[in-house]
Amino acid sequence: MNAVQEESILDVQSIKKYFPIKKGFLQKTIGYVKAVDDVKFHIRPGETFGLVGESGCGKTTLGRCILRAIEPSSGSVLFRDRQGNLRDVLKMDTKDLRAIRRDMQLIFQDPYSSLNPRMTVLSIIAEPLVCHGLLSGDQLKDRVKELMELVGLNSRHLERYPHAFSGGQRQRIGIARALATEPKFIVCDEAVSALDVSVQAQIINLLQDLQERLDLSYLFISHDLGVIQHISNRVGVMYVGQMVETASSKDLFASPKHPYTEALLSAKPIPDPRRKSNRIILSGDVANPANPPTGCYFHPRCPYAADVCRKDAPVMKQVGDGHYAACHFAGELKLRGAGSLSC
Amino acid sequence: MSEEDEIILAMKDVKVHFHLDEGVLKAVDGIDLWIKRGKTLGIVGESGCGKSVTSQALLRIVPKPGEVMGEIKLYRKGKDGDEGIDLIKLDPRGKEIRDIRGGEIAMIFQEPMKAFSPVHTIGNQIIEAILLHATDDKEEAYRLGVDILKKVGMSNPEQRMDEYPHQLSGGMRQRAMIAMALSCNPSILIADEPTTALDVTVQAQVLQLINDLKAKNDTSVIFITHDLGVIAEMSDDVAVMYLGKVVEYTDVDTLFHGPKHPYTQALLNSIPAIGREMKRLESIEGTVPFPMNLPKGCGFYSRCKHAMEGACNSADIPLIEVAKGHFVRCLLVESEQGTTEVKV
Repeated sequence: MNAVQEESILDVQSIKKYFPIKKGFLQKTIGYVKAVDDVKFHIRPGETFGLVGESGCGKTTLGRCILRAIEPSSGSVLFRDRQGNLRDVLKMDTKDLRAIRRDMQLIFQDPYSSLNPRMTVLSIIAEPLVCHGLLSGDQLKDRVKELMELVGLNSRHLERYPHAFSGGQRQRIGIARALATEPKFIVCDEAVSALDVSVQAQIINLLQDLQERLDLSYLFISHDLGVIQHISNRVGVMYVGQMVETASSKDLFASPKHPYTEALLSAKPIPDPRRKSNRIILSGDVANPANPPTGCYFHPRCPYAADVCRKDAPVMKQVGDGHYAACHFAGELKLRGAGSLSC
Repeated sequence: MSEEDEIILAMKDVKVHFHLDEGVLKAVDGIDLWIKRGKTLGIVGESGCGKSVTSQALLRIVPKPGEVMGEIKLYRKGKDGDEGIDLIKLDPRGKEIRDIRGGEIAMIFQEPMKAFSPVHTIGNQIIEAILLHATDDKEEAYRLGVDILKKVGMSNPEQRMDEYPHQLSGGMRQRAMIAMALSCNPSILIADEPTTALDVTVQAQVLQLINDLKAKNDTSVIFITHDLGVIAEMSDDVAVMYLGKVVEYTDVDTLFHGPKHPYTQALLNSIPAIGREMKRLESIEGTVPFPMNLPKGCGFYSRCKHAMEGACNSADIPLIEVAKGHFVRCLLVESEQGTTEVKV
């Protein structure tokens, strides 16, 4: 066990998820969509790891593979259980998996489709507690009330149905449900993307308050770089199923080492008309994960691509303190960050 | 508003009311806006503030049981002294408005997958628009269609003409949508959240495309979005909407560097922007009220930090010009008290 593993709550190693493409009468497998391709990272207790990338890059698949909501093709997910031992989630049997799921929860993107319209708020929030057989009767009701107060909902609304709540309130219900079993680790899959800006700020603040109070670790998946920078301690950037750069939030935004990160940062519109950036406009679309280009997946869109990029796939290498990038020229290129950090 | 700007469309006290069984839903409740030639007007607001309904009112495509009131004057080029035509007086099914729709005023929708017909090729749909407005010659229409696809940066335009919408990627579909909207050289282009469904890198491409085409054709653009970053990037003037009303209207620089309305200030402080310090976000408490049976006074009263009981909630607040071209709907601004400098 190395030093990184010793201090982390979650350690993901070489995780892969290939979806087979089947064709014809006999449903022969003719290829694979490499949704998640050899990704590794770790999360420390109390830390928020931001995962950013464009649609189809495998962020959500990665999040679900970690929870084993989707069965990964290979790799290992080491998770620290309540006894403090690191155990591989992917090797657990059904019984152990059920037990460990108490400690890892998921908050969904769409607060409209992730709550059953036929269940009351009480039964929605109580469901994980009932499933795990933790509480019942009055104790259960009291715990649900406590959770509702915790996320800023009025506990008198216990018997209401989801349709009576606004988008922000529904997201709070989703958060209360995720917190019910006192987890240590929560995957927030685009948890604020469907909300209006003013409500989004409320939910981000709530997530940060809860993290502090309950000592939670988050895997925060989002396509919004502003949100990612605000909430994350460390950030991973994904492109076509691969992690292309991981660094502390500060380093990544101030001095990106991968051309894709640079392009992503410059593409994000800045809410200030005086800072119109001379942005890098990438040509083309995101590569098709079923038929990725040779060498570096980013080379057809990369303004710095050289011959070596077309032939060889780059490996992740260290370019600074805790800063890794998968680019042949990482550290050599002078890339622009997102401007000064304090303004 | 400076004198040299030529106004191409003026909305005066426009209201869109939906008469429902439960009561009257005032989606748009008395807005005044001007669109200048070759300029972009950004309309920003949260969901349900009436920004999309405003654009639907312009084209008279408000769904039933919506009722449009007020005055929308469209001024045409080359007819000096012309009073312009009032779009609201036109029959929504009449020939005149149908000529304007897609001809003089075109629209880009948020989801190109829903806006295109899935059973017709891209080419057929663009040619249909051209045949309706520009020419009767089918071969010329085809040629114009290929041209416009080339202009919006589509690779292999001839091949794309024969493809169906599902064969294109999201960014390409939005380009095709823009091509269709621009095929008849509109003088006003309404873009209703055109990039919300796109990824950031593709969004950057589409925004640049709209700006290039706007500059080339001297088109006026009405850009509707909830993203303040995009507003800063695209607009010359900005209208901030809240609950069916314009609460602040000014040029883009003033909006971001000297906003007067508490809602605008709060909105700007609540976005987690890149390049800003990691500090707690200032959220706006509560949620947008449902726009039915609203109490008197300021719509933002229940969420406003500076709200004054008895003043803000007693009568409707007028839109006041606080500086040249800067309009604000707030009592605090009128008395020049309590305005706080926004921290950016």
